Amino acid sequence: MGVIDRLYSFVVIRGFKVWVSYRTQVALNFISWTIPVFLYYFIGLTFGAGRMAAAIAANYSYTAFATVGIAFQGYFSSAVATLAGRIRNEELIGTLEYQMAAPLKPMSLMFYSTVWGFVVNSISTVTILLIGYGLGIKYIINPLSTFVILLLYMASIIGLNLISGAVVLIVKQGNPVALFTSVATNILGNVVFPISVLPTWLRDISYVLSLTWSLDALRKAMLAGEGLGSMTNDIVILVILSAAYLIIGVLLTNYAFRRILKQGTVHMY
Amino acid sequence: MPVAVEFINVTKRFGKLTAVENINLKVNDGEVVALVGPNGAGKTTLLRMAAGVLLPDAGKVLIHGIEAHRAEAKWHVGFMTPMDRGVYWRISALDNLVFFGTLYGLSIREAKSRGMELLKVFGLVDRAKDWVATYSTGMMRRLELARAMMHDPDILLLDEPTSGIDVDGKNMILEHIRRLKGSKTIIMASHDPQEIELADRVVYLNRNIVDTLPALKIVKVLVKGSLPPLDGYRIVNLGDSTYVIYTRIDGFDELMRRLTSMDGNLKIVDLNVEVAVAERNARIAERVNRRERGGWEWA
Repeated sequence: MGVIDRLYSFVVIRGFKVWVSYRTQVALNFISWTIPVFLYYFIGLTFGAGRMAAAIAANYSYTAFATVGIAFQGYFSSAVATLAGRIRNEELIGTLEYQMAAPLKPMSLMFYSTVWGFVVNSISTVTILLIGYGLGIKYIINPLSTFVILLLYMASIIGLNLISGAVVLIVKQGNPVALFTSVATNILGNVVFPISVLPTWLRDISYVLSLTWSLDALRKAMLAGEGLGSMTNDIVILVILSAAYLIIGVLLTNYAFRRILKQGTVHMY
Repeated sequence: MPVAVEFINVTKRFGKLTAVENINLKVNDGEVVALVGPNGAGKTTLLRMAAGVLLPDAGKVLIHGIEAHRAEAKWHVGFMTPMDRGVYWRISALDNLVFFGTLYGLSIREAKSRGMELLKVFGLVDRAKDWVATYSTGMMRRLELARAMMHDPDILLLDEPTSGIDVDGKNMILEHIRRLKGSKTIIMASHDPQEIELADRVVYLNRNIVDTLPALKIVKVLVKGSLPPLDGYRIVNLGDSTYVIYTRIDGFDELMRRLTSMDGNLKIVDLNVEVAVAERNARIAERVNRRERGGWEWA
């Protein structure tokens, strides 16, 4: 019962009600979600299917490739920035200290603070996928494999959120993790072009990003309807990466909270 | 009497600066304690440690025997700082209270009900659904106090609760604190005589505890007429047969008895109660105590 009430508070009161109070921002959010889909659709049309098919080695168009990439990369980039941004906001507003004065463990506080980011990104994901459908993408979805991959992907995102949030608690200004994930999604994350076109040394960096493997598996699950058996490699690596992100995230979060409580910088920004 | 809050050999440093050193202080259940001292004396530091948002470098802070930073201790504590931030401006006052109420385990329904009840107590019920951004500073302070009380804590930590607000708002908060006396343990950091006079005990702080005394009130009695010698009281002659007689509040009844039993045409014109010494800072208290052990230097 307490969990649901707190989720309501963090998602509806603190998340949704504050978000919609900035009406212009909401409109800009929707625009920023939709424009890239059209952008890559027209890029796909420009280059045609032949060159991309060789690189993708799959039976779907570049538009489909890019749309799935854009739809799900939001969790990796903006969800990470959302938690860090949320913590920074709470520091600036002065509410973080009151949240920490409540009988909520640091992990719980971080978890609840993360949920709104997931909600917003889910709205953007569905919006983008629907626009893709409108542009002619044929989704062949295997529900089980899609669900499993999403679960593992979200687990890794939670870990990344924790790392990002912990960094902001410590450094206060700037968010190097968000900068990294933004660069990662644009260049290294298998989002709008396959990583096979990258030089080897950059591809090696791509391999440690959960985004790379998640998108690979999600395209198989949602564009080709493939089962879990055909994505065993992706799943194993995702399990390892998710576990690593989560462990690092938990350790860093506990360290960050301990540090700010000791230094007395909870109310500072 | 059970101890609600206890500071045991507490020291806190921020870099090279020592905020508080070797503090030992017990606050009993139902007691109201005012922490008084100059800026930088460590009052807010002590409150933050008791609220569990700051860890001591040495010693322990206990809430009903549990270390203050543990979740189990925080259920007992309501905390209010003098900042006018700490609430969400772009949602309503009621939504703010519901949000913070659920952090303390209240259901949405309970939090709404409790929130409306507190908004009524603090005269904000007509503005419950308005954005906090439309509130005055005084209204925000009242909302913050309501927020501290959402989970009905038995311990309130109030840092300058009436600082920077209008007279009506101040009186409302003071009246509420007065009503809570005896039923809640309250620790207040304060510079304000009206806040301090609510205290059962005043702790004079300047990194260490300088002194601990009851809140001292002075009554000034303005009389006109023929005043015979009156031992044991400080008397200031204003001329034209007008005098001001100073007494501690515990000597007021005796003074009145003596004045009313006097012959002659002596009229009591006016009375004024002040909180002595608490209006000054702890450095003065330090000098006073060194110079005059066991007594007070009159204001």
